[in-house]
Amino acid sequence: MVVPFTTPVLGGTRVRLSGNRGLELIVHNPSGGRGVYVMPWTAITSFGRPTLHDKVLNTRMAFLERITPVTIREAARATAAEGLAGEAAMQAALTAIETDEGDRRFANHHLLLALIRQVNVVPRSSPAKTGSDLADLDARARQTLAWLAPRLGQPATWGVAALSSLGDTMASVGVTTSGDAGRTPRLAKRLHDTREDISDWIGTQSDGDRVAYARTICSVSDVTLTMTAGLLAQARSMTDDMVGLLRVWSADPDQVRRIIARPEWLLDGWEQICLVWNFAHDDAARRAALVEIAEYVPILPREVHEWTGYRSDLDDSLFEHRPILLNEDWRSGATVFDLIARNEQFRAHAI
Amino acid sequence: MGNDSSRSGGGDVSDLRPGLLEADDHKIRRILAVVDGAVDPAVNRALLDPLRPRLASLKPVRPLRFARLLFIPIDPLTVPARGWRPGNLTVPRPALAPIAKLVRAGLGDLAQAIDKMIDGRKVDAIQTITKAGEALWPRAAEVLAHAPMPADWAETGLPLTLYASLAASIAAVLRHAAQLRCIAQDEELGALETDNDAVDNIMANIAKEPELGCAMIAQLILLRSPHVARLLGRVAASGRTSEEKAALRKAMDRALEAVLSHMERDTGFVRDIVNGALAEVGGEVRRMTTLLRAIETEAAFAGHLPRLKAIRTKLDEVCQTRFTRGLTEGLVAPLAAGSRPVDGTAQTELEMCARDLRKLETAARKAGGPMTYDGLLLQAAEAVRSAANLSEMRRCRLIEIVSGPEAAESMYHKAIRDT
Repeated sequence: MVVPFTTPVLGGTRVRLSGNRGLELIVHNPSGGRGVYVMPWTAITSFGRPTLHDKVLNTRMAFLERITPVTIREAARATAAEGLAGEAAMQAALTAIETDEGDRRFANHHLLLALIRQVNVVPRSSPAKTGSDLADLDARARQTLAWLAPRLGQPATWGVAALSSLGDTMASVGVTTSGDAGRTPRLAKRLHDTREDISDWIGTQSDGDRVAYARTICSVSDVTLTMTAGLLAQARSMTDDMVGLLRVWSADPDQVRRIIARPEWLLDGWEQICLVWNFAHDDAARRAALVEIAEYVPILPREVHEWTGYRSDLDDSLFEHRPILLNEDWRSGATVFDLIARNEQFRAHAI
Repeated sequence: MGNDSSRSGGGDVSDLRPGLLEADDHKIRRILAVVDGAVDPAVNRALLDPLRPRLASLKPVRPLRFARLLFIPIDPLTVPARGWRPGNLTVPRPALAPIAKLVRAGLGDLAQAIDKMIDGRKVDAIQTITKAGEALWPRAAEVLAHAPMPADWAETGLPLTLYASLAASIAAVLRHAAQLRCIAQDEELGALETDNDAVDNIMANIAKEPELGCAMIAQLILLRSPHVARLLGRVAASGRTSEEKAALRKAMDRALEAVLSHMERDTGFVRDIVNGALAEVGGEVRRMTTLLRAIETEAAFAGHLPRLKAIRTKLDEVCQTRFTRGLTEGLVAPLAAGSRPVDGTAQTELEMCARDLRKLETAARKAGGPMTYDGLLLQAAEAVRSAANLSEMRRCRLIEIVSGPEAAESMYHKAIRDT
């Protein structure tokens, strides 16, 4: 999982649980060359001075039972909400909590309607439009769930809680293809827009190392977006058979959670890339951004073939280009203050 | 300058000058906004010429106009008429208007296309300047290289004999302007090593340029892209004949001499650093210390080493003065004076000021005086610690910037324990 650290030298750092259940950080070579360092947090100081934000975020991560996109995001959001990444990031963290709540309400409502439509055991009290009569909808939902629960081997009270939990889980994928509900579709759209922007930029440049970098980034984005679209469709299609979905949920909710989480795993790390690019407003900044992005481009998860049937050879060809050297003072001299400020702005613009 | 258009509304604009010279920065920016809206360049010049030194430090964001875009590449070399001497590696400001008119007339349809590209933009539109400049500068160089002296050249008050060499030198800079801008921007961002392709492009055919033009190009590299200074030796060696090599060597020496002489003068960089915006001076000092280091480490510049000590001493003094003023005005005074709790907007401004101070301090330490900055930063930390109007988290943020994350962490844990 990519961790949204604000310390410049820790850009693109990933975290994983080690064999002894402690955390291991996978840090890019600070010289800009190839390769990574795997180390515990205590060794990070040999790389530089982590910001207070990063120290607190790391402490929060150390208490996580599972390392997933959701748990890392929540830890980062809680840290930003304290004000440790600046005022704008604090406001954004508070707004994001409201946005997530909106996504959850939308997903719950959609699942409820889908279930009522499929089961159709309770007639409408009036021919009102869908959703226009909340009391009627609520009554029909309760009756539907009461009818369904024993048929799934569950007590009558199980249904409401199960549907609510399922809605919370589905909220990230947006449930429907219309609108902009769901964090993952919003992130996929941001990646799509960024990829288009990079492609447009390529058209204005003469060929060179940077253009080669940019083309490779576009290729990996295309693969990622195609697979994300497939995984989102797969996740959303589960709601076509709500009874079947609740049956699986009653037996093994983690099985559903894993399928729903796939697109978010696939997009892990891309938000940082989009932000690096979008904050670079001119050619010079974009040339530098491409070098930074090249360090961050995620490796496709090993499970991708199992999830999608897609076998990619991108990893083998990724960035075989001549490495572009970084200035010796970058991330350590006076520019470090600007980079921290920029990274904090990233926290303010995270989805 | 000798026409009536400098008279405005029945009065001579010179009546306004004494008031203008005493105006504060805010008032000057407001006046500029009015002047930039006026269409008469003569009135603008009459009003603004006495303010040029203030404008150079203030770096106001002015509308991007054709002439301004055209001369962006030579901006660091432009001086007022009274500051110009024959043989200097500078461009006298009165020469700009007739040259801009001449170039514009020679560009044909491209002039309108450029106008369209920059319409409504200001000088902070970096990408627009890059793109419009790439279209304009090489063509402008062609026009300038072949155009006869403008008919209104005599009105500049400059010698008639100056035109040919000045036009050829400006043309030389404009021919390489896009690459010079590329390496200068990389230097400013500080992320990448020198773009060798851009440097190679500058060096291609540089021996064909007039010596004055070569020297101007070298001076621009020293001022804007000091990391590339070590490559100037390559420029000198790129001549095909011994005469060309000698001419290039001479041009490089002239450029370095001009830069060092400017640094040694009483005014020199002092005004830019003392009066410059805090957000800008850190970068300015970084470029200067980089250049000094390049001169110290490059064997070809060894002859200039004895001059550097005095420059470093002066730079150190000026930086300490600017840091102290920035600290007082931007951090200590607002924290001491505030009666209401610091809100989000005020906190963001305080953090920006603290960062700008740290950028200046980090660059200035390379000029000397590290103990002084340690003391000044302690003073900054004390101002933050004793401020009554800061929440604990906002205090931690400011302490992190001025004293480092370790100090902020202790404060953070104490704040958590106390709540």
